[in-house]
Amino acid sequence: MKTLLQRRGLVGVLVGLWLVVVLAGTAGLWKYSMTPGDPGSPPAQWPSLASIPRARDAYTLVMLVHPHCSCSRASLAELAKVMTRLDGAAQAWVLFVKPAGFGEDWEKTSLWRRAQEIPGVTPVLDEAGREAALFGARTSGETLLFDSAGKLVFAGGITGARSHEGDNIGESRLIALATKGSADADHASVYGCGLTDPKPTLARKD
Amino acid sequence: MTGAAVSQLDEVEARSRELLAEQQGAVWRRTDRMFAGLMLAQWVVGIGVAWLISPLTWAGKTSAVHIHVQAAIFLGGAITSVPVLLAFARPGWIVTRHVIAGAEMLLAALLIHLTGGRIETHFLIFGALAFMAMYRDWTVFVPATLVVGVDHLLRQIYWPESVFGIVAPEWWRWLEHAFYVVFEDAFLIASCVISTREMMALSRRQAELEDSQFRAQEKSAELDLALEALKHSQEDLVRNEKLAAVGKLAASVGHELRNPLAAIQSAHAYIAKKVGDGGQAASDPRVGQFFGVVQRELNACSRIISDLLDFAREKKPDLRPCPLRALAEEAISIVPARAGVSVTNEVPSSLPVPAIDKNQFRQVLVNLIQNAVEAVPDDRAGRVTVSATGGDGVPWRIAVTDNGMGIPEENLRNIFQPLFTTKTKGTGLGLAVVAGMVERHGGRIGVESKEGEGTEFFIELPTPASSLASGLENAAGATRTAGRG
Repeated sequence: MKTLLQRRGLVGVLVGLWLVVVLAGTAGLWKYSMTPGDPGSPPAQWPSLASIPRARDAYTLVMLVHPHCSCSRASLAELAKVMTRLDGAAQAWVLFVKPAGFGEDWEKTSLWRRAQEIPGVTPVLDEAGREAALFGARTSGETLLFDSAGKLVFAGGITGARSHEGDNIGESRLIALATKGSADADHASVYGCGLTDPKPTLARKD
Repeated sequence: MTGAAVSQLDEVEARSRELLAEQQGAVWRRTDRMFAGLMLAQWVVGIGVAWLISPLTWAGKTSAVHIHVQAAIFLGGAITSVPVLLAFARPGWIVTRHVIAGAEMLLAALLIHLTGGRIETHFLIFGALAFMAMYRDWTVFVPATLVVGVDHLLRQIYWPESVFGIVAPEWWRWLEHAFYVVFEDAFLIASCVISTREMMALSRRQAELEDSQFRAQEKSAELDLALEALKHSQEDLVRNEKLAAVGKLAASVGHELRNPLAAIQSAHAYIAKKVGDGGQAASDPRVGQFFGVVQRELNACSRIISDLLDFAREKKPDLRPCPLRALAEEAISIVPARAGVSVTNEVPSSLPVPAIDKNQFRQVLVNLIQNAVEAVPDDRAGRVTVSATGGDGVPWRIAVTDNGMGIPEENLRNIFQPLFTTKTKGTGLGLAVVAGMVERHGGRIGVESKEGEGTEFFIELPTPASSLASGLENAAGATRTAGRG
C-alpha cells in the first residue's frame, strides 16, 4: 500500500473516489435529515375528549413526543426558545406517547426531564397514544397551537430538520401567529420518529 | 565584494534553504501524524457522541440503530480513512496535508450534524483551523476554507434552514458565514508566514555557524600541516646539528689522537733506527723510555676511543645491588694519585645497598673524582671527598666535593654538553658520558660551584620505596626523568 501511494496518479484516483464517497454519504445524511415525518391530521378545533385542559385566556400549545426519540431533543430545545419568546402567552403540554406493552416509567427519559425544566411546560403521559390519536399526531415533535377559543392556529414541527436545533420556519411561523396574529403559513414540516405507526411513511414536504 | 565572498554567501544561502526544507519537512511529517491521530480520535468520539445522543430511532414500539450512529461509523470512517492513510504512507507531502485540511473540515461538519447543529459545536471549525497553523504552511487554509465555503453555498442552495434558520436567505449569507473563517485565516496565515520567516532566520544562522565551523576546521588543518612542516624542519635542524656535532667530534678526536700518534711515531722512528744500527738498541737507555712513551700514548688513545664509544653507545644499565662505599673505594684507587691532593671516602659502610650498574657507576665516580683532583690548583692542599646518603625510601644522593678553583658561572650552563671542555687536553665528552649514564639510571646530575672555593657534583637517584625494586623497574624500561644542575 505504501509503495502504491508513492504513485501520484493512483493517489489522485484515490482522492477522487474518496471525495465521491464522502459527498454521497453527506448527501444521504442530508436527505435523511430533511425528510419530514407524517404530518398527521390535526383537528381544526380543540378535541373535546382531550384529557388535558385548554387555557381559556391564553394560547394552549401541545407537543406530542415519543419518549425515546432522540430527534425530539431538538424539538424540546426549540420549545424552550418558543416559550421564552411567548413570555407567558401560552400554556404548554408535552404529551409523551407510550405505546402499549412497555413497563412503568418507560416514558421517564431525559426528554421528560428536559420538558419538566422548561417554564410553563407540563409533561404528561399519553398511555397507548390515546391523546395523540385525538390530536391527529403521527410524528414525534408535532406541535399544535390553539387559541383561547380552542381554534387550531398552527400545526407542524418547530425544527428545521431531524435532530437539528436552530432557527427554522415552523418556529418562526408559530411565534408570529401567537404574537402578531398572522404568518405566511399556519403549518410546517415535522421531523422526528413515528409516534405509533411502526411503518415509516413519507409525507409531502411543506 | 570579492568573487570568493560572493560564492561563500551563495553557499550559505543554499545551505539555509536546505536546512529550512529539512526543518519544514520534519514539521509537516510530525503534524501529519498528529492530525492522523487527532482524526482517528475524532472518528471514535463521533461514534460515541452519536451513540450517546441518538442511539436508536423509533417508530412506535419498534426501534433500529439511528442513522446518525451509522453515519458516524461509515461516513466518519470514510472521511478519516484517506487522510490517515496518506499521513502514514506519504507524510510531509503537500497533497497529504491538503487532504487532511479538507477532511478535518468535513469531519467537523459531520460532528456538528451529529450533535444536532448546536452552535457550540461550530467552534470545532475554528479550533481545527488553529490546529492547522501547526503546519506553518498557509496553503493548508485554502482547501479548509474552500470546504467550509462550498458547504455553506450548497446549504444555502439546498438546505438554507440548516445554517441560516430561514427558507430564503439573501444570496450573500453563505459569504457572510465564510467571512468569519477567512477572518481567522488571515491571522493564522500571518502567523504561518512569520513562523516560516523565523525558521528561515534560524536556518540561516545554523548555516552560517556550519560555514564558520567548516572554515575553522580548514584553518585547523592548515595549522596542522604547518606544524607538521615545522616538525620536519626541526628534525632536519636536529639532524644537521648532529651532523655538525659529529664533524666537530671528528675534528676533536683527530686533534686529540694526532698528539699521541705523533709521539708514538717519533718513538717508533727512534727505536727503528736503533734496531737498524745493529744491536745498539739493547744498550741505549732511551729505547726503554720511548717504549714507555708508546705505552702511555697508546693508553691516551684508548681512553679517547673509550669516551667516544661510551658517548656514542647508550648502553642500558644492568641493575644489580652494589654497595656504594666499596664502589667509591674502587674508583678512588683507579684515579692516579696526585701530590698534595687527598681523596677521602666518606660513604657510610652502613648505607643501604642501591641497585645500579656497577661498571657504569664506577666510571661515573672515576670521572668525577678525576675532574675533582685535577681541579685543585698546584698551590693549594687539595681535598676531595666522596659521600653518599639515602636509602630506605629516601632518594640517594652521591656527592663528589673538592676545594679546587671552582667553575665560572658562564661555564656551568654548558658543563654537561658534549664536546664542551675548558681543559687544554680533553675530548669534552667525560661529563656528557657521566650525565648520560646517570639519566639512564633514572637519576639526575647537578653541580654547585663557587669560583675559587670549590665545586660539588651530586647525583640524585629516585628510589622512593625500595632502592632495589625501583632500580629493577628502571632497568625494565620505565619512564625516566633527568635534569641537570
